[in-house]
Amino acid sequence: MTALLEVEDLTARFDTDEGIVTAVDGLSYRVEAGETFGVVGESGAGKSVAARAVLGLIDDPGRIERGEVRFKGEDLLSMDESELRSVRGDRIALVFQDARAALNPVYTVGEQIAETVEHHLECDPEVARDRTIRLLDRVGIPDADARYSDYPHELSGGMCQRATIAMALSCEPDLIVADEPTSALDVTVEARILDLLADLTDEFGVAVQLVSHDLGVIAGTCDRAMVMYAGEAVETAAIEELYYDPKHPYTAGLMSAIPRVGDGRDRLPTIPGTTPDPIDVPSGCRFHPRCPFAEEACTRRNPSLVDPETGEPATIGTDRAAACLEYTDGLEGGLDYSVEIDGATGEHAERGGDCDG
Amino acid sequence: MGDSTESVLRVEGLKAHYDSTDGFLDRLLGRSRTVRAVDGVDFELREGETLGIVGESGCGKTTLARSALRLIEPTAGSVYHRGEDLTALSSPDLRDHRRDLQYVFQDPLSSLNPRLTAGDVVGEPLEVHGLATGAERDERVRELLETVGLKRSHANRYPHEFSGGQRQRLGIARALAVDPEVIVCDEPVSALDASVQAQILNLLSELQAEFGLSYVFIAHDLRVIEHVADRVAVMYLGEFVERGPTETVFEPPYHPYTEALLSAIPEPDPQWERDGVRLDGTVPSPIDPPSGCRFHTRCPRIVPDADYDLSSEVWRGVTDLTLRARETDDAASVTATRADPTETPWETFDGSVREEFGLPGTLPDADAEGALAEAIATLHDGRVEAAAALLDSAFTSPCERHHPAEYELDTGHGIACLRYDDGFDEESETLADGPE
Amino acid sequence: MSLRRFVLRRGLAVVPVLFGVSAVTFGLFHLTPGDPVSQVVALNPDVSAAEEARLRERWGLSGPVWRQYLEWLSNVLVGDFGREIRTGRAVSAVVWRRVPETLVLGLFGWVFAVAIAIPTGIYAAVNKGEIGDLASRVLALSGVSIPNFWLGLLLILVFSLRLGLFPVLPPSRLPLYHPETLRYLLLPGVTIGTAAAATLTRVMRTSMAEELNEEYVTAARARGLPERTVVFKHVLRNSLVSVVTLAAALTAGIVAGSVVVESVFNWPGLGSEFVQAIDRREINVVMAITLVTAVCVVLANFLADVLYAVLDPRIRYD
Ligand code: SF4
Ligand code: SF4
Repeated sequence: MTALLEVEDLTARFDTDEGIVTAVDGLSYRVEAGETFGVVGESGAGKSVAARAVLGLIDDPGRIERGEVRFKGEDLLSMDESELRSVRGDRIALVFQDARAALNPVYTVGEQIAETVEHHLECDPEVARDRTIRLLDRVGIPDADARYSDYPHELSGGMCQRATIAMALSCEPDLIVADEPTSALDVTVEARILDLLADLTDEFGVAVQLVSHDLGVIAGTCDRAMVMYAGEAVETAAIEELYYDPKHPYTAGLMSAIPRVGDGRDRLPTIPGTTPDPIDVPSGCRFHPRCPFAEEACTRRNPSLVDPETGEPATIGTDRAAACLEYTDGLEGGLDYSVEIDGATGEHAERGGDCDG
Repeated sequence: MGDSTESVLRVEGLKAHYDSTDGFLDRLLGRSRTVRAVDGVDFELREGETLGIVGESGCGKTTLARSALRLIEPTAGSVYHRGEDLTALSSPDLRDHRRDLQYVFQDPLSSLNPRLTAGDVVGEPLEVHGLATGAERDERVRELLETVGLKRSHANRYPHEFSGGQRQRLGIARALAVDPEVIVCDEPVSALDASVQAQILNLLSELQAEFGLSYVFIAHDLRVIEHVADRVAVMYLGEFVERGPTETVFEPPYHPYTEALLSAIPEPDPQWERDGVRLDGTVPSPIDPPSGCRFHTRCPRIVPDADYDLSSEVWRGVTDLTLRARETDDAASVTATRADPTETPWETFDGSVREEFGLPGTLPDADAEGALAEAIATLHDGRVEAAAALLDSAFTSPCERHHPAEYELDTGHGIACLRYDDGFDEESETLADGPE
Repeated sequence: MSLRRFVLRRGLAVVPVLFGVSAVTFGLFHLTPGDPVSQVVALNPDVSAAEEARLRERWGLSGPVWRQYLEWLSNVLVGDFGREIRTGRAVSAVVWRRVPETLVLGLFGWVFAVAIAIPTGIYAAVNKGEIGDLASRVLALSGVSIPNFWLGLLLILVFSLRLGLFPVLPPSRLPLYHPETLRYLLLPGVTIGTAAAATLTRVMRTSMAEELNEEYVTAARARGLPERTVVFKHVLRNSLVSVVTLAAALTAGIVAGSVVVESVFNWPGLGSEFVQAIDRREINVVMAITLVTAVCVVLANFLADVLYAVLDPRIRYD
């Protein structure tokens, strides 16, 4: 069984003044039809590059060094431009972080959506316009008829994001790659947009690759997720396993660093240091300078993604994988952390109840 | 609130309005548009505490912080520091106070001169205020860098050579240089990654303990605010709608706006079900803020008029319909389907209007149903303005008529919402209000 | 704000500009010593002082500068530009006869500049860093650096004298709309337009290259639009926004250039007339030409502003 999207050994490099940056290094993952797949990581993890690479949208000075991006079994990276264009916007659509910047300021929002519809569905302008207005209405833009002729600067950030979601949906794609779609928005708007995305994935049966730095956003929307660090995947798991039983020290550290309402902690546990300089990544395990469990071996050997139970190398079909030497070589000290699930969910249950009151 | 003797900063009735009048012709024609970014805010910052100010973008929190330090000239109100009103001081006198009142920006890079080294950036305030020069200055700078978790050798680097978190540390070191009493932190961690954000938050709390600093901490992220603040003020459209000790603000009873903000936080827990209230739209324009309670255009708990027996959910729908009818000139835009109303049968039109605004097929209250049906029929005729007028006169919430005062629930916990008025009846969700 | 209000507002702003230009020119002219009367007097030593004063009185050259200016202004406002002191001809007639000549030359230069610059700029930006881009940049740089008069002389030398392709002297007798005029127009037109073309090319290239980096371009590609649509529909319109402003600003450069170029090519336009008028201290002629030029420049900028607002919907609201 091939998944809807299979990315294998994807490696993307950028030539910069300071040297070559390997933004994505040997990345493999899959997205199943209809599922929402999360990609989490901090800045510099390579998650946005990975998102764009799916559509072959890496511009100079970047290039895709090797790897395959198989969409329904066909490698997008070996397609020619015109074949690729017939996939872009039609079968796979992209949603950007800054929706307003992703819209051309000198054309109306409606025109731009209708343009996509006209191009891919080869229909009359009138038909495209009708379809656009229905889409705008579907994504919750009030008074869609009038908004059709609004320019991007006349809409709020949330409305712009709704419009680009309508644009992404316009040709009923199989996959939407959403790159930090809510990071620039207020929480209240974010919550609305995430609700909308969840509704639409149900309604249209579209799969979503959701890229975000926010573990809260990923938890609420995704079926499975992948954690990235310094250009590599460090952990992949079904969403509940990832949050309740993280296998990689970075995943665990990231989760504990988020302040939670009602947790009463005076100090936040932190991950010391910062994400590594992409020009000069640490030897061995890239996380070792910041990892509380790092041992001598970690500075020498780069752990590969393996099934944490068996230590077998992970393949694209593996559901649970982590890249830490603990699972292949065994660390002397082991990984010593625990996740308190009860306390956490207890909090939510309590607050959830209050909200209803 | 509280005892004024221990306050290090006291803000009273602060207003910051500015003019967004559109050039010469507008002024010639006497058209003026005043943006009421901050519209009458009081607060008091006590020694050693952190006051969190939270709200969506556009609520005026940054303008508030800047006008409180007179980085922006306030329009009205007073800011007391050491017994003197900053708004009344001349620039040289103000400078003296500025030493005690420092500001840390969201993006430190934009506030740092790219041609100065880290050492110069941190040392500049020392020189400006005549605190240290020469070798003494350099030594003090290196100490400060260490205090904020940077290396002494970093003094020779340029701002762009630092990572986001390090730059924020630099911004903090600069603020600390003059040994201030108060630091106003304007979204200091919102541009940072989660792991780095935690480092900076911890650093700020260590510094507070060590130097006895007081913070005004501005953020849009309630999780961060809850973590750092001793007291919290929730801001909406230029006003505080709720304030009090952190625990009381983050626990019921809530202001409906606080409640909505809280329920919007995405929890990093897959089993957590997002429920509770949802907020539509964005903060309205501060040029002509809504009448009565400024939140009434979005409030999910809006108080229904006592004349009708309607729930606040239904009332919300009716109010949304009223607002839409007021705004648009096209009757089609108020339906879920957007067919030309005059060409759709009345029942279909009526149904789709109700669907769009989440209203039941018949309102439970006969009078209300009568008024609504008449308005929808008017809309069906394409007379939008007339329909808006009908709705306006039939359905006016007390929330549109009264500007809620701040009701004090516990000591220091105040909520500006009519639901906490003595005249409010929980059971029927109505407010016994006299004619305005 | 509606486009109409925008146009109205910009239109109103023109008035003070014209007042300013005329006042400054008038003032400057009076700062330089000598006037036509003193020139006449120098030629006829027998003129008495009283007669001289009478002449000045008659030509409005006596009294403080501000009074002279106001007098001139009130005449202009009713459409009277005065007379040439030497010949007594109406200034408006003198100037009007020359306007078409210069207008044709300037327009030719301007069209030449735009026609060269926009395609070259697009090409260079799209193929940034490649050989064609480098070549266009070298050419543009040379175009900016070569002085007008030198380029004009060079063109005459090569194309007229050596190759004999174009006539050297202007069509003093030919009507302007005659097809033959084009042959006379080519060399001076190219001379006048070259610097503008070079500047415009550079701006077009930069602004296009900048726009190509915008997120909406990636977004347009991600929607599967053909590259042609992306470049010519999406990017071009945005890049033109800055080019339009500059193209208007260049009108002033072309006007200034026409003074030199008309002399080099002996073109019977406003530029030549202007030089002669200054030489003869004909204040009325100088003022009229200044005013006509100012109106042209202001008009060009005004058109650019309107076009700007049409191209970019955000402008109308600022
Ligand atoms: S391999 Fe070593 S450094 Fe890397 S995550 Fe595991 S314990 Fe930490
Ligand atoms: S006063 Fe009314 S509109 Fe305002 S917050 Fe309270 S219930 Fe909502």
